[in-house]
Amino acid sequence: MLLKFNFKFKISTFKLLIIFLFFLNFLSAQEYSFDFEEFEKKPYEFIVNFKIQPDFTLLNKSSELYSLNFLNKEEKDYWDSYTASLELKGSYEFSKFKFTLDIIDQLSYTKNNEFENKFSIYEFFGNADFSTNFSLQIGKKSVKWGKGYIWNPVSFVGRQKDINDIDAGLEGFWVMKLDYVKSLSGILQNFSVTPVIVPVTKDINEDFQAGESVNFVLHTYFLIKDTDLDFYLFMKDEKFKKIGFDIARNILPSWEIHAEYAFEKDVITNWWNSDFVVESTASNTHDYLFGTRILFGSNTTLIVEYLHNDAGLDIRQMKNFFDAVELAVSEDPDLLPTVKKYQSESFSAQFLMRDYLYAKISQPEPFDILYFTASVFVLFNINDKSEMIGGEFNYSRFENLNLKLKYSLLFGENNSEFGEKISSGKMSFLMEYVF
Amino acid sequence: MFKKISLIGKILLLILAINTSFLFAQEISEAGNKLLKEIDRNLTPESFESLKKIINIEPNGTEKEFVLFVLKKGNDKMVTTFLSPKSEVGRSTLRLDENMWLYIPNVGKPMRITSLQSVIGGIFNNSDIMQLDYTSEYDVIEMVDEEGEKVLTLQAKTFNVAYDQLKMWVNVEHKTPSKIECYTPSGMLIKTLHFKEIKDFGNGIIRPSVLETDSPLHKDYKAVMIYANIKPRKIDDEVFTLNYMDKIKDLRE
Repeated sequence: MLLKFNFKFKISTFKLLIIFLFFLNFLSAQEYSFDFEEFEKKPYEFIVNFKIQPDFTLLNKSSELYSLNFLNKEEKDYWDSYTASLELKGSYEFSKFKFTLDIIDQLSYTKNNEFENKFSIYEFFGNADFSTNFSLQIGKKSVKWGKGYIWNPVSFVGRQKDINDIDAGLEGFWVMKLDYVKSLSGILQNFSVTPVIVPVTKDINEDFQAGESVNFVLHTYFLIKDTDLDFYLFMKDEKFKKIGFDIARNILPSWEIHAEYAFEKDVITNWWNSDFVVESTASNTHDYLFGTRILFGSNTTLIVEYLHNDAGLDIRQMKNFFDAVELAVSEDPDLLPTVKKYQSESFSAQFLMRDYLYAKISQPEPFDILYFTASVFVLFNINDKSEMIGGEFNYSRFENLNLKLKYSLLFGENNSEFGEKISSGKMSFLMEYVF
Repeated sequence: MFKKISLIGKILLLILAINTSFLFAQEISEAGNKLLKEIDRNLTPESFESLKKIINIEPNGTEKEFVLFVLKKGNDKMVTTFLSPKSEVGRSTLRLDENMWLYIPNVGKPMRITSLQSVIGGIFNNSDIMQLDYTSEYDVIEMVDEEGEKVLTLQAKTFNVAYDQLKMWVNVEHKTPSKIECYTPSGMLIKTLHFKEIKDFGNGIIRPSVLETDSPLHKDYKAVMIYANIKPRKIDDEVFTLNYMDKIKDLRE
């Protein structure tokens, strides 16, 4: 009986061993698994993006803009602000139609020690694909054009990038946009034609441009051999307003070049004369940008761009404004409302003057740290020799979590753009979680 | 007289030898390129969709996974888009022959990139992820037998290709690669691709389902690509344009 039991035990142990070995073999054969069914298409999808961003700004107490903003206020050495934002991107698709929504709620504890809540609809539009060639989009949509990294003079339907956060999403405008695309065989590989209508009323797109208008924009794109070529036309109330083009190609596998040009009729520039009076002049402007992007063997990427902002102020006009600020702050308080109005309306553009040089070097995975990218940049104002220097450290090791540390320092003489900014430096930390 | 005939004979023999070796090399090259074409078709149909999971494995064993949806047509058109992780969803890469563009949803417009960059970090670069048919980028210059496998030496047709030379070990039974070594023009080994786990994907597609990579430049790091759901599909050419880069994930069937 005992023997029999032992025999049975041995048999079952042997079976177990076989099963165990088979299982081990199965595991080793299936070292990597991929359950692709969880990636089957669903009619709806949504992504939530949660961001926390503390900012620390070092104030430039010797600048004219500091004197203006801290007039009759308690002086400060720095500003700190804290922002938490929740962005919901969702879409629902049926048949040939798709609806997209992108909303952001942003809660900030501001530099003035106050809580501020801002809710924005970045995008809310419907898309209809009539065929592979034709599609129609109606609603609020972010439309981005141009080949420049830091500036896009041909972005006729989009907002300009924030030079402190170039890759940030931008709020769209209410548009009706039709796309026609066609592929061909030959030197012209494909082309597309995109007419866009942008209405401006008291209730919609009021920040697109001043006054009510109906704007028609035509974008055409051609891939000729290995070159991207785009043309843009902007008509305001059936009258010609702007025209432009951009071009990009790789002249070597690791060397890309690009350029943008835009001509605009009757651009109004507000500027201070030496009698401290704001004058307005209308002129036709030629904005352009040349740039290159090079990838070196070390995996280092260099971006260099030169840009010309034709409607920008010259050195004399900048000095007149700073002199007006000094006069308003120290001697002539009656001038203060005009100076403050000018600062908020005409002195808040990304590029105030005319000629800039931008260079950025980024290095992915330095010291073999996977998912880590370090970069440095300089934005040099060629006209007044002032500059902004900064950098960014990005770490995306953890799934759906992105950590970013950014800093910038401003340098310049008196009466120069970056020398007279209210801040002399800024540091931000961004924690972004996507789920 | 004897000497004169001998000299002419020597010259004729030399010409014959050169000619024969040239013809032999040409024959090898033709046979090699024919085999390479068969390998291309065994790896993927001419026009297809598929899913790819990429796993980056660090020396300490930590892993990060990415899932991509892939569409390819003919020799020169391919587009991929990220389906996972959520932070990367919608990030798409388009390849038209030697031109390559990256679309990032926040940035909102395509920008030109190169095949040597990596959209995911780690060992796989864009060229590995967006691999076109080998015949469209390489010529076979040598074919030898080695331990039951054919070994092909492939030379890049242009300097635009990510790797100047490949050494490909071919599984003779399935006519698919079992190993590929990638070299620079100076002959330096950049990475080795190991093709594993032959699988029947249906529609006559029997091929390795796992591609494992290591590189002497990234010691102890490893990257793995797992293929799934490879199936032939008719795709319009217009899908491979900049206009479509923001809606590639919607093209899943």
